This record gives sequence, C-alpha cells and structure tokens, in this order.
Amino acid sequence: MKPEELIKQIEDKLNSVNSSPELENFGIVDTVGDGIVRANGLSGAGYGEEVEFENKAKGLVLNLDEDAVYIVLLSEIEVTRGMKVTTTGKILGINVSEKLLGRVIDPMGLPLDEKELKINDGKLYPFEKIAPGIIERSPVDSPIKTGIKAIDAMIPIGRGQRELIIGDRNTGKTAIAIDTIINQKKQDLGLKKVICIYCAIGQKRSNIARIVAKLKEEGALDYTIVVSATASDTASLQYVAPFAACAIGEYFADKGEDVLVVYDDLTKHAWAYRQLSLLLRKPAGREAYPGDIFYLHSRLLERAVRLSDKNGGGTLTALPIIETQGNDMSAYIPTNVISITDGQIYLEADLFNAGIRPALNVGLSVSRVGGAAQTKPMKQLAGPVRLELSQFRELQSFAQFGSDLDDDTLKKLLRGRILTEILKQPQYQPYDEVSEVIAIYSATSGCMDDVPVERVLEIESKIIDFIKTNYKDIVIKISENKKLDENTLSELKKRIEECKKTVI
Amino acid sequence: MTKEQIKKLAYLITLQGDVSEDVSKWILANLSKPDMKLFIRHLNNALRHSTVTAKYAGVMPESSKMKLYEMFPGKKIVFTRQDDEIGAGIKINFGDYTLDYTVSGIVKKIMKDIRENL
Repeated sequence: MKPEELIKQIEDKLNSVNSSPELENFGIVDTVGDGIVRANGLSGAGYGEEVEFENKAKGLVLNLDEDAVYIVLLSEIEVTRGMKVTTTGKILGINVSEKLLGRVIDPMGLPLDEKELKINDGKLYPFEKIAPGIIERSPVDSPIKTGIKAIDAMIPIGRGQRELIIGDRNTGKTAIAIDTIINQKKQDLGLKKVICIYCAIGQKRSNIARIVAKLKEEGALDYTIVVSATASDTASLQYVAPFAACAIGEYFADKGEDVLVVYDDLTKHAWAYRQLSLLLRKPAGREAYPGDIFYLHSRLLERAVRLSDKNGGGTLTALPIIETQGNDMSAYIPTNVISITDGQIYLEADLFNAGIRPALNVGLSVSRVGGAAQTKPMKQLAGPVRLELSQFRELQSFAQFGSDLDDDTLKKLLRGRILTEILKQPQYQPYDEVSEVIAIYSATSGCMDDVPVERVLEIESKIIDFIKTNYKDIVIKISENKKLDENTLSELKKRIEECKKTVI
Repeated sequence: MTKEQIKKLAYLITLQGDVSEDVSKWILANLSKPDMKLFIRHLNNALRHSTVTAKYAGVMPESSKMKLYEMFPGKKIVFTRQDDEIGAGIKINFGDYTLDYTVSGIVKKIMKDIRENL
C-alpha cells in the first residue's frame, strides 16, 4: 500500500468518528450469579440488546422486568455489584469479513487459533435477524453434494435446504457433516464453490481440535470457518453460537455465495437455552424447557435460504444435528426440529454396530425438497435403490423364519445385500458424482449380482478406476448432468462387465 | 403490604420531599425485612428519577441554571462543581440517563471511536 493510500484510509476513518454528545442510558448492577446479572435502571434497554459494563465486559439483555433488567454475561470478565452498565443501542452481532475464512473463532468473533485477527473492513451482522420473506426466495434447485453415495442417491440435499442429521451418540452424525465439508473441495459438475461454517456447541475441546486438524489435513479449512462454544464455555456463549454462525453465513449468502452451516448440535443448544431460561426465571414447560424453545430453533433454521437471482442468488444450507437418547425420535427437541427442517438423515446405532456405515436408516430418512435439486443421471439411476432396499429389509425379516424361498425372493435378497454393501463408505472418503453414478448403476443394473458380497466394495472401486482411466467419453457424458440415454447406459454396462471379467 | 403499595409509599415520600418521624416509625415497625429491602430499592429509584444532578466545571452562569430548571420542571436539581473530572462543560444525570456535554466526555468518546475504527 502506498503512503498516500494509508493516510487517506486513516483520514476517512477519523472523519467517520462521531464526537457529538449522546444520551446515555445506564443501570447499576444489583445482583450477579451464574452468569446472570440483574441491573436496576436501563429503562431504555431493548430485548436482545448488547450492553457494556464499566470494565468493558459485554452482556446481552434477555429479560425485561418492571423494575429490573436481566443480562446474560458474554465474557468472563468479573462483574461486581454496584458496577455501572450502559446500553449500546446495538443488537448483538459479529463483525464479518473474508478474513474469517480458515479461522477458528468464538461466537463473539475472537480468534481461538492463537493467530491475530483484526477485521477493519468487516461488516457487523446481527445475531438475530428476521428470515428472508417469500418474495426474496427461490425454490431449491441445485444440489449440495455430500460425496456420500447413500445420501446423494436417496436423500439428496439442495442448496438452501435444511436437512437434519439425527441419531444416537457415536453413530456418525458429525462424520457426515465433516465429509460434506471436505467434499466441497471438489466443486463437482461445475457447481459454485461452497463456503462452510462448522458451529460446535457444547462439545469437548479435544473433539473440535480433532475436527480442525482433519479439515486442515484435507485442505478444507481454507474455505471453512469454525465457530466454537465448547462444553466449558458459558451457557450464554453456547446459546449465541449458532446465531453467530448463521450471521456469518448470511454475510456470504448476501454476497451471492453458497454457504453451508453445520450446527453441531442443537440438542446441546437447547440445553444451554434451558439453563439460561431457568436462571432467568422464565416459566418452565415440558422437560423444563421454556415455552419458546420451538421458536428458538425455528427462527434460526428459517434463515436457511435460496435467495432469488434478483437478491444475489446466494444460498444458505443448514445441516442441524440432533442427538437422540436410545433411538427415541419422539422426544421433545427431536420432534421439534424434525418438523422445522426439510427432511432428516436418520442414523441408527444397530446399523452402525452391524458395520453398515454410514448407518443410514433408509425408511426413516427423507429429503422433502432435495429431489428437485438432484442431478439428472443420479435421479435416473438411483430411483430404484430406495424401493429395492425397502423390499429387501421387509423380505429379510421374513426370510429369517423359513428356508424355502422362491427364486424371485432370493434374487431380491441378494440384490438388497449388494446394494447395502455398495452403499457402505469409509469416513473422509467422499465420492465424486461420476464415481457415485457408476457405483450405483453397477448395483442396480445387476452387474454385481454374481460378485461375492464381501468383494463388492473392492470390485466397485476397481470398476470406477477402470472406467475413469479408459473410457473418458462415458465420464464426460455423466458429468454433463443430462439424462443418460440407452446407448450410454448399455455402453456403461458393457464396460462394467468387461472390467469385472479381469478382476474376478 | 403489597408490592404495589410499597412502591406507591416510596413514590409519595419522594414527592413529599420529607419523611416525618411518625411515618418512619410506622415503616420500621410494619415492614418485614424483604419488604424493607424492596421499599429501599423503590425509594432509591424514585429519588433517582426525581433528582437531576448537574456536574460542571468553572463558574456556572445563573442563566444556564435557569435553563436547566425549565428543562426539568418540578425536579430537584443538585449542582456540583467538579473542575478536575470535567475540564469544561456540563454533565447531567437524570433517572437512568446521562447527557455528557463535557470536554473529558467528548475526548473519551473520540478515543473510543478511534480505537474501534482503526
């Protein structure tokens, strides 16, 4: 930068400094405890307003009584009785700019990765914002590829969709989200790049460190922002964390970018809000959650959007995660979030323990709007997968009781086993679109029917490599995102058989 | 006594500007410890809202004082000279609001803005 430019920049900023006196509304701290401050005065404070204590500690107004205001502390600076607290006239927000990319921050925008972070050119985005209206939106029409065969084939996720990932602990919920983030590196099918935001709520620091290290290793951190409020952080920070992540996402979406926000997880977010609400003496409802727990999550997830081209065409896709207890999907928070989102990916502990990973329960998983966003070849070829798998699961339970089965049933059982096998996928190995299409077609076309089940995955990877190396024309046709014609399909089948002969 | 009655009592005492011995004795004899706490809190609030504090530096002209009386009719105004803290100008506290027209206040504000912007 030239010296003149620097001087001009400083001059501009100094000119923007306001020196006129302002009316200041203040209060006096009456009681402090459990991160909640009760202050007298502050008659001009509004709900959700940021307040500042005389020692620079920050707080958030969350309850307005007739005689007092209840403030949630957002920093760990000590606040004492009798201290002066002033309103700021600002809704709590975060200063956002491109400099946040590749960084690990807390919900207030402070760096946690021991590197300096100074945002001079940033824009303040409020944590709480009314979701875009109907006119500002467009229907979801382009996919966000997860790189996971089972999901991209059966439960496709569109850009701007809210897809819930739900399951017991240790069933691979975070793994799906992380794989999706890693897969965005590919920019498959010429799709726009996706900026990813991973919001960790109430998790162990070691877990977050592991995730950050993995993202870095895979080269995914460059386009990712990690917003972290760990289990050892205050409930107030855990409460604002997803709103901070959403505000960051909105900054990029407003600039016309595609954004993916992972909220890991909203169960712990609900716990944090319950803790705050009980301390704020809000009336407790079912399971001691406050009455507005549904509104808490609906107003957050409603901000997921596919903006119309007139409004920049940006998208904000939300992948909230919910942890169930003992596979109970009918608990309070899971049912709330299921009803808010546009579908759910349900992971089952039994499937996980049986070695089926991702442990996807096909029957209970659904994507309500993703079908419109699915790529044409995938839609064409993956259509029968869900049906065949459902038939397989049904027949499998009957087949346990008798050995005399007709040929048709045996065929269906075999096809089901092969499909189940082919949909297995190791962690951190997302597939590109072409590989997914070849893998799915090799199973649905019956080419794998004579392959021993335990060798299905090995043969599948060989077939993918073989076609990608030797038959580029097929690869190009699949990548064109057009419906595959009969000739291409028969050609693909021929090549799969050709490869199979050499490897079996 | 109900909470509303305690609040009203504190407000009326402030309005009167004085507490007679009889009223004081009655309050001490009839209010329980939590009620007394509440009463003192309301009394504090009521006093804060009925009193305006004007801190200034140097000599304050009578015309300025008259202007303040016009601005806050019916309120008790306490004038305090604080040359060191204020430098020049006037700082007015009323209720839970502060209007800072002092040199020190404006300098502090500019410094804060510069720190935030640069």
